[in-house]
Amino acid sequence: MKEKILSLLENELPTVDFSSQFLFSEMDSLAVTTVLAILSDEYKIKLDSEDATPKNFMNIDTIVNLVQTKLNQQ
Amino acid sequence: MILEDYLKHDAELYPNKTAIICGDKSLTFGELWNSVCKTAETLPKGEIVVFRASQDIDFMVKYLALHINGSVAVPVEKDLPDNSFNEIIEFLKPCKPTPEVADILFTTGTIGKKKGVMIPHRAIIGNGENVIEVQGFDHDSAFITTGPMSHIASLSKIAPVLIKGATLIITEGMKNVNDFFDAMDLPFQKFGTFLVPSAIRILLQFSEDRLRKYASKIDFIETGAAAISTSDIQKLCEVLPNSRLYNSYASTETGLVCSYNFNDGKCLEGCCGRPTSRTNVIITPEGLIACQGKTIMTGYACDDELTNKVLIDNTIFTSDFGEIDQDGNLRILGRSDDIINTGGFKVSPTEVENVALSIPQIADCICVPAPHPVLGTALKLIYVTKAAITKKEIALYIKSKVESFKVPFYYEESDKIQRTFNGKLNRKFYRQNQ
Repeated sequence: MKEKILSLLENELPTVDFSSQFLFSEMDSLAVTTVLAILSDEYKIKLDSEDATPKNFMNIDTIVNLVQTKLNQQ
Repeated sequence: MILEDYLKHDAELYPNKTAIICGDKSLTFGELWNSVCKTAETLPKGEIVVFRASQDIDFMVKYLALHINGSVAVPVEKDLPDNSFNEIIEFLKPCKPTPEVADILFTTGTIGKKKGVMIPHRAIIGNGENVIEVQGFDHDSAFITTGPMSHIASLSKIAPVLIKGATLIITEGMKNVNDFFDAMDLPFQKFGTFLVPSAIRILLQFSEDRLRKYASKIDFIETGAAAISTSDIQKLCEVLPNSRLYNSYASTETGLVCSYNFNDGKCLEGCCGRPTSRTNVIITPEGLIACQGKTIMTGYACDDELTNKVLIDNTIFTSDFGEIDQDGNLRILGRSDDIINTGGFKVSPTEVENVALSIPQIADCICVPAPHPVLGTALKLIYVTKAAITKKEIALYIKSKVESFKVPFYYEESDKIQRTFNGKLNRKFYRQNQ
């Protein structure tokens, strides 16, 4: 799942360094929104603005965990 | 009077009232006035000062302190690359603005040339008075800024706050929407804010439930700087039935000219309302909007030629097509030039193309507007290569040279770029095919 998410996000957001451990601080509002939109679409999960926190968007692993948690809640 | 006179007045009348909040920091009017006076002692007098617009209280203090010193404040994007920052300093070296000039704000010209809009103190006050008159901003209001303080839409909201002795809440933008909603948990009776259409889209798409929850606290929302979709204004009216929701016509050169509350039951599309009592709007024979009044600029820094083209007999001639309807409302019909409006920022495609063409592997390219679900319009770079290069490499190179909002969102490799019979980029072809 991590590889797939990474590939999807890197394709849509080429200027973002997804190897960063400080991902949230390096993204702008459009990038954050794009991540929410792509993951909602791809995994048919409901993500809202409350999910876009520095903790959930710390790095690619925390984003994967967020998706996994939402899938488990369904 | 200049804006700082109002601050001094506020400090005398309401020394313990909160003037500004940013995160967990705040200053009362008394503290703000003292900080501004103290900071002024450390800053140059009567000079042009270029500085990055951080989204914090320090920015506000420095900005006001420069005015007290009779200096001209030139706040630029906080992520502006160093080479562009230094170019602005060099560009302004020969500039000798008149004492009436308070700020110089940089916007994008049609061919990518920098335009330093000189904003006089009277325009700053006029804009503040317009917000108070048209949008009902008052002493009990708390205004939440969500955009960069180098942009006129955010910077101009300092004036109504100081004129009315209200409160300004600075947020980091819409990246962490939780900050925006947390601001509305602060103990104020009512909140106003300015949101570009893409920020409204973000809220409606990912925070509709929370927006409904805070509806009773939202006194007004102003939007502008780009076209907002009919579906979004209708949805916003439904989510916030008791809030005043304004669509404004404003620019760095003209200031706030018109504002229309579209939550009036009619929800008129493309309507910006009637001119304020301080402004006048004329439609030229070519159908372009021209503006007069207290809020207009004094000219472009170091560019008399462009100033004389745009500012004639105290009238600003814009590149926007418009019409006045039977009720006296200004309706916006589009632009007459190639400038692309993305998320409320105006971008010259030529500037982006010039940066892309400086990449050795790029043989030819064109920057065009493309539909985007949040921004409405995003930048797209269509390019021809002469050697292998990835999309990521192109994007990172452009990002290293210009502000982040000028970096294209979409990329498409092509065999050739369409040109007209005389060799110019065929922008019309791409506009019709995106």
